[in-house]
Amino acid sequence: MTTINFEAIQPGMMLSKDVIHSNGRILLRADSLLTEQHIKIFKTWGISSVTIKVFNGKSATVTMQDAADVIKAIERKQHIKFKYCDLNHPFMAELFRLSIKQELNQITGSQ
Amino acid sequence: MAVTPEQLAEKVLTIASLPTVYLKLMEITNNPNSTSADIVTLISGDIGFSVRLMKLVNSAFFGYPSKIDSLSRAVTVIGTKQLQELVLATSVVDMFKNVPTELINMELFWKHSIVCGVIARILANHRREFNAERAFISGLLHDIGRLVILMIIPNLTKKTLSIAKAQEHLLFQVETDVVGFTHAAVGGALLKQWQLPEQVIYATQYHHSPSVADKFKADVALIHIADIMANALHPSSSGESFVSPLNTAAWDELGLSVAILEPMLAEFTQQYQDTLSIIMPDVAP
Repeated sequence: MTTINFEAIQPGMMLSKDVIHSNGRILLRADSLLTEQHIKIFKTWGISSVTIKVFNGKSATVTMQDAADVIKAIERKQHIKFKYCDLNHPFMAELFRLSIKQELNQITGSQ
Repeated sequence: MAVTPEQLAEKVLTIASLPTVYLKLMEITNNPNSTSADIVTLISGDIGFSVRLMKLVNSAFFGYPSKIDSLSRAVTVIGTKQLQELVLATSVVDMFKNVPTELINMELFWKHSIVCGVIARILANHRREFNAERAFISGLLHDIGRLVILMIIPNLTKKTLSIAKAQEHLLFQVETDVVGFTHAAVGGALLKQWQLPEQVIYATQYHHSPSVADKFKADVALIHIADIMANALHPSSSGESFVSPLNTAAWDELGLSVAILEPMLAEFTQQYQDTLSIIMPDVAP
């Protein structure tokens, strides 16, 4: 068992400890195989490090329903805020993406 | 009742005028016989402002290597132009201190204004021909007309706000229907009476209608874009609940790349906190 930097995390790695947000919510259980989507969600929730297995072991997949729900709710809110904007324009599309990121940062209290 | 934006601006000046320190500073700086000692004497008479000035010149934003501990050094370091702008910024916040708060959250209003000013200043630094401090002042003052409308015709403001809320419309469009013109026109008229630089007047007057401006297209585009970004990325607001639609010609006018937006957010956070603590020292970010 070893702890590695976030940048070094790759899809396909296996967790050896639960990933728990600072608010106490468990984001992903131990033994889960990491996917690209998990890593993205960890980033938006401000998780800075996770503990993974460096050898093959049993895996148990846990859904990320809670985190996904939060992101969906923010997206809905931002769609209302941007309802007079043409999100096909590259500038507005980027602002929309950044605004969702900002909102998530505010929830997780990270930068 | 047919009022014009100019009449509203005139009326507001009779109930709330710019503090004398700003007017005196303009007088001194426009007088070729005055010296920086005159400026120091004037500033030292205003303790509150002196403290803010010392804080500003010693902030990370200036990044001066050694501590500046006298007012005369501070005045020299900051320069006359920037001093005028700082005095203007703090004066304007003071001038509208007594706006009735039932219809507007003044803290959120000034935060939105400062956010817009800081974004405008950062964007301005990406193009050589822009004057960054003028960009900040334009951003800071772009919605000032909203306060004028609120103070002079509060009943129409009330109507505007409730219609915009009920119908989920853009506030500045409802303003046109209810008041007959927008806060942008009123703001432009007020800044004209204050004799601010023409670019600042134009940027304020046309920030919702950049294609109507017959000159200073880049200055207008800068505030149009900074306002959209402020509404999109910061929870503060001058009363508007939605992000205004983009004028694509204004975006093209700036010639900026979308790729600069994310990196500039980190720069923004620090500058915003510094600027807020100088203009509104008692408010948390």
